[in-house]
Amino acid sequence: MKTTRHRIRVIALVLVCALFSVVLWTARAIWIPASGGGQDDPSAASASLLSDPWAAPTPAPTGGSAIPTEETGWVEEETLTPEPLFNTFGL
Amino acid sequence: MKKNSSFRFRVAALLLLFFAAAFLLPACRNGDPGLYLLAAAVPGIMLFLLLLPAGFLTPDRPALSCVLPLCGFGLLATVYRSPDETLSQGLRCAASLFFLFSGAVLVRSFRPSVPSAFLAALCGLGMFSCPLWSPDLSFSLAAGGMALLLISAAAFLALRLRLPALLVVIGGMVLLLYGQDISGAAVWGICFVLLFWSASDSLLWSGVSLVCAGGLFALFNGFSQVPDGPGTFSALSRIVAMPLLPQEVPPEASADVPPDSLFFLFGEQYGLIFLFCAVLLLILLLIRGASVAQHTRKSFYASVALGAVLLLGLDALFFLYAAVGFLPFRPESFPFLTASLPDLFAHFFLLGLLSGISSRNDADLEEDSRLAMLAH
Repeated sequence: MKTTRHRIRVIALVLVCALFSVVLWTARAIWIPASGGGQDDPSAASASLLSDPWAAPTPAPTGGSAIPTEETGWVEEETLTPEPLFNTFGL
Repeated sequence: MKKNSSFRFRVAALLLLFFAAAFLLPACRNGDPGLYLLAAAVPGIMLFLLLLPAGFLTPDRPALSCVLPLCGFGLLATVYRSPDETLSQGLRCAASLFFLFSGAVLVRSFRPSVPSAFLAALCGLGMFSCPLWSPDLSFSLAAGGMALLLISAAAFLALRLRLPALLVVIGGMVLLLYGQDISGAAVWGICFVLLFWSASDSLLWSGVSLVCAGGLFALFNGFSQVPDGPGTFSALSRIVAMPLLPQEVPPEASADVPPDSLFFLFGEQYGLIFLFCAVLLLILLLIRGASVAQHTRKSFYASVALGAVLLLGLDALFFLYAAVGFLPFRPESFPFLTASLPDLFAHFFLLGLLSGISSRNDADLEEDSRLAMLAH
């Protein structure tokens, strides 16, 4: 009977923890969208990709040298502001 | 002792005042005479049940203190939308009280023996097989069948007849899986494996029961009958959209809500804080049930009490996990917060089993103190 009592305690504890876990999960699901921390916005995702210096650059336009920028990936040389990062890649 | 009783008195008084006000407000707004009746009847019946003198038929007061507010929440869920539905739900809860007392009487008077266990098994399996005999049946008796099979399995385990107990469980699972009640079969299987583990001295039989439950699922392709995948019936977006506090204007009824989903209706009307209170009340009920199971002196009562806790707890767990999309089942019914009459009967019957065992524990303690006084 002692073993049974101990096992009852364990089962009840696991059941209560499982119920609390779903309450906490639901609270988390409500809290995260409310605080504006969502990562689901595709425009936010693409903006972060373009501003990422390690992202793969778009192909260079033909004719003339050009240097990559944030918007298009490439600008004309006279507007160039040399960036050591891109020079490192030999672009 | 005096401090405890005054605290309980204050909590009870607050509870009664809350429900009286909660029904009076829509009654004054609607002018519906039925709501005035509920404003008097609901606190009145709660007071009557809480003041019942201790005895053979007395429901367990701590457990009742958790269940009565849950039933009250179920009534409040439709009080603004449809006062007639609220009255019907009130009548359902009142009718279910009969099963509360029946469960208490049955468990106190039940003596574990092979014929009584066999009879309980027959009744339970008969309730499970109702959908097979009459496919047009619009309601399910699975919850009631599980309660009777629980008594039968607990009786066999108390008599140390593990094979018949296992056969009872297998029979129940086969009928549930054949009737395509996958979530019911899962609840019953998990409940019995844990019951076997707690009641059995050897791990071998626990392992055998686990293998049998898993094997039956595989045999009936239970896993492949699960529709699509997790999150198919998720209501997480509905839960997230619920207000935090009670609303004045009743929300629009959603077309995709099952008609007996009082849990969601209550949450949309009264907010997430009250919904959290409902879940907390159920957790307190489960803790009380486990405490009753621990303090009992006979293994039969321990198995029945633990089984009742598991059936109620796993029902709630499956409901909540399905509602947030963790499980690929439709959320069926939250204990005591449902409009399904057979489920309500079964839940009150399980509460009656717990109450009967609790009163048995109290009787044993009184007998001990009487013997101690005689010895001195």
